[in-house]
Amino acid sequence: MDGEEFLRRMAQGGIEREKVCRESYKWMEGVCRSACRKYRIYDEQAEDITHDVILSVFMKWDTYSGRASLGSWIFQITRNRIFDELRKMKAHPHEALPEGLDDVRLPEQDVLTGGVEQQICVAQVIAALENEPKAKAGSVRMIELLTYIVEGDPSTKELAVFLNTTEGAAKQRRSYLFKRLKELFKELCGDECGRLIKRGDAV
Amino acid sequence: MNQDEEDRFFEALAGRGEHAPDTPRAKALREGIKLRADVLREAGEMPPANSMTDTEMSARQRILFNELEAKGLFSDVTGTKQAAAPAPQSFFGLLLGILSSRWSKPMAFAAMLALVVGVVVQQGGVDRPVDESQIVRGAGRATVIRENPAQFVADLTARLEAAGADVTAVQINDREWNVKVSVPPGTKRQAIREQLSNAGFGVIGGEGEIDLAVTKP
Repeated sequence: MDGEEFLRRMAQGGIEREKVCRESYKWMEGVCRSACRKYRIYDEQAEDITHDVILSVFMKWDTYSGRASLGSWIFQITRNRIFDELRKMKAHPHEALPEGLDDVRLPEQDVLTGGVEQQICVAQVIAALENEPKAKAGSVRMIELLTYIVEGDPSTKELAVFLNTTEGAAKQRRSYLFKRLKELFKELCGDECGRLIKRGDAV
Repeated sequence: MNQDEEDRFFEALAGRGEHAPDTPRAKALREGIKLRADVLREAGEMPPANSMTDTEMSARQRILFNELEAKGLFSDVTGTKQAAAPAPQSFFGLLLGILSSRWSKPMAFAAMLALVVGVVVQQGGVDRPVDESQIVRGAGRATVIRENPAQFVADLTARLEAAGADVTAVQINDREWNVKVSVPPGTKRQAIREQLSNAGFGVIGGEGEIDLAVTKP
């Protein structure tokens, strides 16, 4: 189900909403559980998070803007709920961390807060990019461009093919993405992309 | 902005280059993007949705559906969920109307006054003035409007947890956060209420889980 259909059918109310819930529950549960697995959250914790997220999705359906895909929106809510869980675990260290969490996501106990906070900062930036509309009809959204760069490490020529444009325009688009990321990091995390790179003593 | 800075940033983002091991922010951004892509890819690979019957529904799903039904999601009302439940702010007006229709106006007013005094006494005193324009009540949830919901929620969570509450904060979108507050047995509920009052939520009664929302203007 795409976002437009979700909004249209939820707006009809009553029995149609119930149908949407029945049709989409398993898929939504899959998105939530997949995200939980990535963050090494399992068992009862994952069930609780999934329950809370799906409840929020349906009770707050009218806050979904429709800009990001429905899956992205659900993933954003799940990720935020997971971060809240991780923060709680940091606040209550006597409670056991999920198996493997310390090894994979957060290597040292004293890195835990920084790790989660950094993830939250990044999640805010990604969420902001997800909610940004296309520059124009048919163009590639910034979140898609960023994903392509992360996953594909493309050359300028490959980037131009992906964007269906010239190499010069592809370079400009990449520079614009960089500029926008700087703005978002400054606005949401209090620093800039420049701090993402180690240069001399500045990290 | 210089080209070198940009090139090195994208090198780190793509997971290569000599700077990659020393770039925690870029590493986190790269991880975040990859993780998002993996989850959405897995979601896309799931079998097409088909409608469940009552017998196919698991106990867990049934609990969720019952909860959604109890919250009025499936009521035969179009529009937003706020329309499904009467707003608490109209409660006193509604009560006054009911009382007025059965008793004389002075009697109704006296009953209202007794109710209001009862609520205040139960809360342990009169709360500090609250800017009501900043509070939106609807669908059983108190909402405050703040310029920076993320910071506000973080501060509120810390204060409530220090007072002994169990807090779950979830960002719904770039404008809104939901905060659920539960009070474990043995914790003073009054201390939690005071923190909420100080944060601008006014008087919050009831014994169950407290459901709050924080939104941008």
